[in-house]
Amino acid sequence: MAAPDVRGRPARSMNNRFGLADLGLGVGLRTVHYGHVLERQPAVDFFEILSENFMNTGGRPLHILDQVSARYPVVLHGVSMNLGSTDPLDFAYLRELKALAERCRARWLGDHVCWTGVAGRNSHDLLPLPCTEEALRHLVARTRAVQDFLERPLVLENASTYLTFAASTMPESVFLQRLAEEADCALLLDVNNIYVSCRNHGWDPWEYLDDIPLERVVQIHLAGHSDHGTHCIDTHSGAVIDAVWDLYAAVIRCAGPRATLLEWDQDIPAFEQVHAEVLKAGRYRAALAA
Amino acid sequence: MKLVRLQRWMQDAVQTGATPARVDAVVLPSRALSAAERLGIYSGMYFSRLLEVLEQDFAAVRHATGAARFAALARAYLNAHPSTHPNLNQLGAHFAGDLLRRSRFLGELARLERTVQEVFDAARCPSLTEPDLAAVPPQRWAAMNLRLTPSTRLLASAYPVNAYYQAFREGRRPRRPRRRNEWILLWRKPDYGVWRRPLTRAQFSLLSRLDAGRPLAEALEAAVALDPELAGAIQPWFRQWSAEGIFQRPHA
Repeated sequence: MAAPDVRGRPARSMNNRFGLADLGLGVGLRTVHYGHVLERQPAVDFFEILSENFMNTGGRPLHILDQVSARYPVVLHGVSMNLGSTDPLDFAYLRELKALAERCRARWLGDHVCWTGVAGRNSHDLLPLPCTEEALRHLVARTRAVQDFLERPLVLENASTYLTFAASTMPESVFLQRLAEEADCALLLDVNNIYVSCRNHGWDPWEYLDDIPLERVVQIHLAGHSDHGTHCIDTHSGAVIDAVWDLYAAVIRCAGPRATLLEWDQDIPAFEQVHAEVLKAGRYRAALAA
Repeated sequence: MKLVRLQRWMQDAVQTGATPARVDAVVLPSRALSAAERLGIYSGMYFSRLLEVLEQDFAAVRHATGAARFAALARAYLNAHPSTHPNLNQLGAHFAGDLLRRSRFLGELARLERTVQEVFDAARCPSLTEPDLAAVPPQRWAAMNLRLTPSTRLLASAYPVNAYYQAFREGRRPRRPRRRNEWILLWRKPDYGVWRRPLTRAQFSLLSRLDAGRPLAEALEAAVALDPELAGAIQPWFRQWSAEGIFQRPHA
């Protein structure tokens, strides 16, 4: 049975409102694949770079990045912007990020809808925000400030979450929608994260998708996860499950083709296997053209 | 609860692993998990993720301690020095200092592993070449200042940690060594590989004084005082060191 469309949206192809290109099917660049990528130069449409892997270093990582970005389009995806924190914004981090984006001619850059630490500490995790008016106002103001500093739209990703706060007053999907519209930022829609969060919280993933302003989605993430029965963890391991492919198919049927990227971070297999997994998205994209 | 208070509340819970008293008032349960269990997912992932980073960065120390003791040392370290940097490559910046207070051998081994990382990530810098050195007029040698590049480091240790580290890297499962002084040069080659080589005490003295800004004649005099036989070996050393690019090219 075909997956349903995102409710109320006709199947069509829309441009994202930022005019950012559909880069095709990409792979998250990981250290274990550096040698393969540089020597074999596989036919990958684009690479997503983990920003922090190339920051605070002056050695081999930047040498690798220079070679990869000379051959492939790259986008930057970070985990340490700490956008939702009540700490002051880290402008030293943002300056280095901006320089990195210019160095590798990143097509866009982004991070997550989350916070990573407070009181000067860093948990190195994507911690959840309460979906409240206070948190939304805070995040909107900071997203606007960062976009002004970076002189480009931020591409923000919905993170997987493992708890919900009693204080929340709106669904996470509405929080994301209002953030995108009030901060005028772009979205990186991680359909695996939607599946994981909905499983963990008992939400309906199709209703979640209904709230997402698809014209703001410039990139889609795919990944595998770990199902512990009582909850799911976004481990970026293994193949993408069918339920996540269904969500992906529905999004691109309504939004049109979007740059699509596979993340694989645990028990990382050979590059060819990672690449083959994202190439499965091609059949959904081909169906749009048919 | 205001956002700032909620974030401090959650961070304390995640980083200490303790269940806060008001967890049921702040976090909702799911159908399968209690509020405390849901919060516990984050605290469990916090420690396991950072432990994994320290295990990778200090693999030889982990071999020396065993997995269980390493995990206990890592937990004590993370409690004393929670990460304050956005980049995980800074997570272990104080680990060697923390270990030195417990065990000189483990601390010096950790310092070697940390220095390998620092050399790997150090800023690029133009280095002095053999032709540069040959072009210096003999009358200027005595006053010459030669500084090490940021990707060149010197270490002195009371234990043979470089030999231990090399044996570990070769899979030889080394045993804890007895105390013996060791002096080590670490540098990064143009292909970005990090290399290590034992130094004599006189070589270490010479390079340390040069890097501290002392002129060549003064640094050589101190080194010869340690080893009167070394005078004849100095030219080959400098040819080798400049070929390896360990000295900064002086500003024009």
